[in-house]
Amino acid sequence: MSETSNAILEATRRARDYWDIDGLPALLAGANTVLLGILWLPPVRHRSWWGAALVLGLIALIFLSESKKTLEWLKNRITYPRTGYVAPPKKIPYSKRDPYATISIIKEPEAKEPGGPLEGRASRKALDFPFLRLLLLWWFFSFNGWLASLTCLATALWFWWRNKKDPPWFEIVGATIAGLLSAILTVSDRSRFCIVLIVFGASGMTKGATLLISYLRQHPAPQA
Amino acid sequence: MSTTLQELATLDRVIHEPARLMIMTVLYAISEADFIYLQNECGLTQGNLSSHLAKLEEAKYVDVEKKFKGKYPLTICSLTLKGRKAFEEYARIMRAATQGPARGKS
Repeated sequence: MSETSNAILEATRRARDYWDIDGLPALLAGANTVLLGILWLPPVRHRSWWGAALVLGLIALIFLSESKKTLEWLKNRITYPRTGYVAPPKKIPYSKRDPYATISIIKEPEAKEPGGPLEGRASRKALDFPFLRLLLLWWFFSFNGWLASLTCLATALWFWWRNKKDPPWFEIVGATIAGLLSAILTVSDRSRFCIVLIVFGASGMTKGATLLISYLRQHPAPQA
Repeated sequence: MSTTLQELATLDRVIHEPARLMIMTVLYAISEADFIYLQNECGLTQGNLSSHLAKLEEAKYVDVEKKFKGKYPLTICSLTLKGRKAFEEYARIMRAATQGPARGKS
């Protein structure tokens, strides 16, 4: 169809929003970002036996938290029995994505063609791009505290400007706090970058947890 | 009578029923959904949705597949190619019949 009616657009939008309704993607993406931040902290990377064990443990946790299987497993137990399953739309416009998806290495599962198998909904195609963003961020934050702070505040402003009608407050507050800490704390460049990741991830986890609690309150029991 | 007007008589009655039209619209927008999601989206009762899905399945517009994800049973519904085409044709006829210069407020 060349024209798309409002009802179809609304159904598409609702299906797209449904993916984030339980807060699980934000929670896992936040946890993932926090773990990445901890992994890059200088004390963790000291070359002692316990440091190596900690690094390996963190890497395992990062892979576990970024795994779409973990997300699917949680959704299978929490979301689908309560409010049902819907395949997310094929293309999620960049502007409509949850801001944490721009940082996290979690990728929303791809919708598949009608009638296809249930398994294999997830795809791992987007792994490289978020890593490039992380590297770019690291490079940017290695200048000085003020520049890092300005970047964080500009990010907060961008989050607000991108969606003025319904601003993503958790992300805005997270980026602002990260910016303030970057300016105030006198730490090494690497530590500053880690702090920004941890603060931003923590705000993601808070957002996810808040959404999850509100979702569970609205839908306390699975539907028959 | 114009051709467009006469075309209204050829509207697909399987889709034309409001509840089924809702189901078809939701399934057209997404690739697949399970029974609970459809029930919540369309605001239909379990029995009502079941009977409408059965009619759509009978017309081969909807494919209904029962699966298990762990212990949780999923009834996955999706539009077939025939259903997709039928919905597009229905929308085309309705659009042709209803679009045009706005009337009223003089």
